[in-house]
Amino acid sequence: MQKHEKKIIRSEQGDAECIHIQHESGLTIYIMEMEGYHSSFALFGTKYGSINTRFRLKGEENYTEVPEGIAHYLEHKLFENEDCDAFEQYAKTGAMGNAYTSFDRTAYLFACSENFTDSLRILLSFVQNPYFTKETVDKEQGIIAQEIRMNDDDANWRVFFNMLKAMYHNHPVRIDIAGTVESIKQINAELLYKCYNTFYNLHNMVLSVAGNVKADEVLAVCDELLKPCEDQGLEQLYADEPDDIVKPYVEDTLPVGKPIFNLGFKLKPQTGKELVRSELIATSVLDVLLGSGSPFYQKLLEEGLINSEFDTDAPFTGDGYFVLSCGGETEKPEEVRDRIIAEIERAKKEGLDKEAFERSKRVHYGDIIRSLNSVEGNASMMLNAYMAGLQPFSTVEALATITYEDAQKFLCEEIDTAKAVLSVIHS
Amino acid sequence: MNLKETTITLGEGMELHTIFEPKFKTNTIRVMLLVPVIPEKNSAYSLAISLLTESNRKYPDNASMTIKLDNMYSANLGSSMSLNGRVMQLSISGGTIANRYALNGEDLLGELTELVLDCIFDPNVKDGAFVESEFKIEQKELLDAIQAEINQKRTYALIRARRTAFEGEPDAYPSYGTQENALQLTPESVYEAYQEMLKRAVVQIYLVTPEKDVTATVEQLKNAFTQIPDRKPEPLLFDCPSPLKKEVSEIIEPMDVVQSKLVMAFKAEEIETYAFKMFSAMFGGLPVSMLFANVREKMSLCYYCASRTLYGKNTLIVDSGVELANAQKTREAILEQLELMKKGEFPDELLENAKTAMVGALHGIGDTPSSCISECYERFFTKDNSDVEGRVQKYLALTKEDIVKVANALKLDTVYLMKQEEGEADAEA
Repeated sequence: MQKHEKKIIRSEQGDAECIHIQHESGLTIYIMEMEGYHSSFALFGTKYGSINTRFRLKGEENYTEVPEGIAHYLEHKLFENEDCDAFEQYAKTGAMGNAYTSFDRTAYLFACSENFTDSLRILLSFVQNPYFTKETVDKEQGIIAQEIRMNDDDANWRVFFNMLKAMYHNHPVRIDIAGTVESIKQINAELLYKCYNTFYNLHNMVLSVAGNVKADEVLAVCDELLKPCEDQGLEQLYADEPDDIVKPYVEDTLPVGKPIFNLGFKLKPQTGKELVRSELIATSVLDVLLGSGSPFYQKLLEEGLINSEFDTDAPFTGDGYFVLSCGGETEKPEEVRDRIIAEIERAKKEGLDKEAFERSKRVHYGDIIRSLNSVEGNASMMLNAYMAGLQPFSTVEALATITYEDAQKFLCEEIDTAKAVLSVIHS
Repeated sequence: MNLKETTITLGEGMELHTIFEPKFKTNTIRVMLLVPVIPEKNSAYSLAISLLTESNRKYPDNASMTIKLDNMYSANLGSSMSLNGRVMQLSISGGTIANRYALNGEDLLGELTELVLDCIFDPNVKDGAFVESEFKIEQKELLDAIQAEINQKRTYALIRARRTAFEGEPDAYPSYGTQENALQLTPESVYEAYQEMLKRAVVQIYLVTPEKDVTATVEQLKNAFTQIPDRKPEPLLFDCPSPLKKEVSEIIEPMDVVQSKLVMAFKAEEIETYAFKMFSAMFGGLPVSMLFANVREKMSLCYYCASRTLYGKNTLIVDSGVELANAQKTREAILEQLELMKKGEFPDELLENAKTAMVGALHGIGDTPSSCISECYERFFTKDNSDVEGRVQKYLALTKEDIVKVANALKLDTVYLMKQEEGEADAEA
C-alpha cells in the first residue's frame, strides 16, 4: 500500500520521465530512475539564498533583517552537528558530499555509486538537525573570510558583482553571496537558528534525486526521517527597486592579462511560465545578435576587438531581477559596448535574422537533450524547476512554443539600451 | 563497472577504441595525438591543434563552422592540449546528440565523423600554409591565453610552482608554450609542425556511442587514419620521476591581491602508484583528509588546503589560499600533518574511508562519455591493464604500512608563495 500518490511527469521530446511526490511532511520530491546508470545524485534544497535578508512569518508584525552572507554561513555550519560532521558520515558510505548557496537557493548534495539509501539518510538527517553554538559559529569566521578573500581576487567574480552593484539600487542581488568580512562578524548562533527555522521548513524545500535509485526506497527513507511541519506563511520583503540603473560604468583594478568586462542590461523581472519563455527567447536573441555564429561577432573578432573569450551569458534571473549580459577580454571595453548597443538598435529597426533564430532553437533543443545524459544534470533540472515554481521538463515544452515574432517583440520591448551597465577590471 | 569496449589496431602506434553504451543520449568522438614534449614546439603544436577545430576547407571560417555545429543541434567541437609526464597530449573532440533525437532523421554520427575527419585531414590550408586570416586570429588567441595566465590566481600559483619544481625538465612549462615562441610562428611553420605531428604522434581514437550499428563510422575512421604517409610514431615517456633538489627552492612573488597563495611540492624517488593516490586522498584529497580536517576545520586557516598527485612525476602538490600573516603557520601545519602520516599517526578509519571513496569513484566510471574515455586512456598510459574490478582489489589490498611508506618517501622540494601586498611586515615564506 503506497502512502503517497506518485505522479509521473514525462517528456516525449526528451525521452525521459520523472516521478513527483508531494510528501505529507510538506516536502516536494522529484525522483528520476535512470536505467543502466551506476551512480546517483541527490539534492536537498531550500528557497533560501543571499537575497533573502528581510522576512517575516504569518502573525509576526515586524520584518526581521539579517546580515549579508548569512544564508551561505548557515550552509557551512549545517554540516556540523553535536557528535560529528556530515563529511565524516559520508566518508563511511563513500558518498561525495557538498553544498552551494546562490542568490535564491541553498542546496545540499551528494554523489555516490554505492550505499545510496545510507547516504540519503545522512543528507536528510543533518539538514534537519541544526546545531549552532558560539564556539562552532566563531570557528567558521576564519574559513569563510578566506573564501571571501579568494573571491575578491577572482577577476570574473568581481567584474560581475561590480556590474550588479552598478545596476541595482536596493535589491539584495547587489550584495555578495558570502557577504563581506565585516558583515559575517555580526552572525551568531541565535541569528542562524532564526534563519534556519524560517527557511528550512519542508514546505519551502525540495528533494531531487536521479540515477541508480528506486522511488520506493527513496520514499521509505523519507517516511522514516522527514519531520512533518506546518506551512508558516513566509513573507519576503525587498526594498523598492527603481527601473533605472545606478550608473552606466564601473571600473576596478586587479592583476589581469588584459582588461576584462561584463556588459549587462537590466530587464523587467518575471516569474513562472513567462520567465521560462523569456529566458529561452532572451538566450536566442543574444545568440542571434552576438553569438559566435553571428556576423557581428566575426567582425569584432577580425578587428581584434574581442577574442574567443567573448561570450553571452545565460539570463541571470530570480525574484525581482532579470539581467542579460555578455563579457570577455578587450583592450577597448567602451568601444565594444558602443558597438553592441548599436547592433541591438540596428536589429530593433531591421529585424533579427530569421534563419539564425531557427538555428538557435535547434541549439536549445540539443542542449536540453545533452543535459538529460547525466545524473547530476537531471537532478539539477528537477531542482531548478521547483525553484522556478514549475514542473520538470517545462523548458523543453516551452521551447516548442516560442516564435520569431516573440523574439523580435522581446528585443524591441524588453531590452532597453539605456539600462546598460559596463563593468571593467584592468591591471 | 567494466566498459563494453572493443579495440582495433589501425597501424603502428594507432588504435581505435569503440565503447558501446546504450544509455547515452549523445555520440562522442575524441582523437588524441600524443607526442614527446619538445618545449620550443609547444606553441606551434598548440596553435596547430586549435586551428584545426576553428575552421576547415569546407567550413573556412569560425562563423560557418559555428553555423554547421548549431545546425547539428548544438554539436560541440574543440581541441585541448595538456602535459602528462614528458608527453604532450593534443586532442580533438566532437559530440552530438544521438541519431534517434534528430528531428528530421539526420545521421548525426555520420555528420560528426565527417566533420572531425575533415578538420584533421582537410584543414583550412592554402599553398602549404594555414590560411592567414584564420592563423592571425588563433595566434592572437594563443597570445591572449598566455597573457591571461595571471587571471586565475590559484591556477597561476600552481603553474609558477610547477615551473620551479620541474626546472630544467621539458615539462616545466605550460602546454601552450611561451609568448616568445608564439610570436615567431607563421602560417607555414605551424602547418609544417602539424604535418610533423601527424607523423610523430601515437594516435588513440575513442568513439563512445549508443548507436547499435557503427560499422560505417569505424570504416570511415579506419580509412582516414591508415592513409597518413610516412608514419614514425615516437616512443612516449609518461613515467619520468622528477629529481629532488639538493635544497628546497623558495619563491616569493609579490602581487596586488588580498589573499596569499601557498603551494608546496613534495617529491619521491620511488613510489607505488596505487598507494600514492590513496595517500593523497587521505592527506589532502577528501573532506575528511588530514589537511581538510586539521588545517581548515580545526585551525580555521583557510578555505581550501588540498593535495594532488602528478602521475609519472612522483610529485605531490599541496596548495592553499591564506592570509599572509598565516602563511608560515599554514606551511608548518602542512608539514606537521605529513610528519604524523610518516609515523602512522592517523586513524585507521581514514584509510578505510579513503578506500570506500576510491572504490565508489571507480564504480561510477561509465556514467559519462568522458569518464569512459578517461578510463580507457588511463589504462593505455599507465600500461596497467587491470579492469575496474581489478583496480578495486588493488586499492582494497593497501595497508597502513603502504601509506606510511609513501609518506616517508616524500621530501619537500619547492615552496611558492604569492604574497599579498598588504601587511608585508608579516611576510614569511
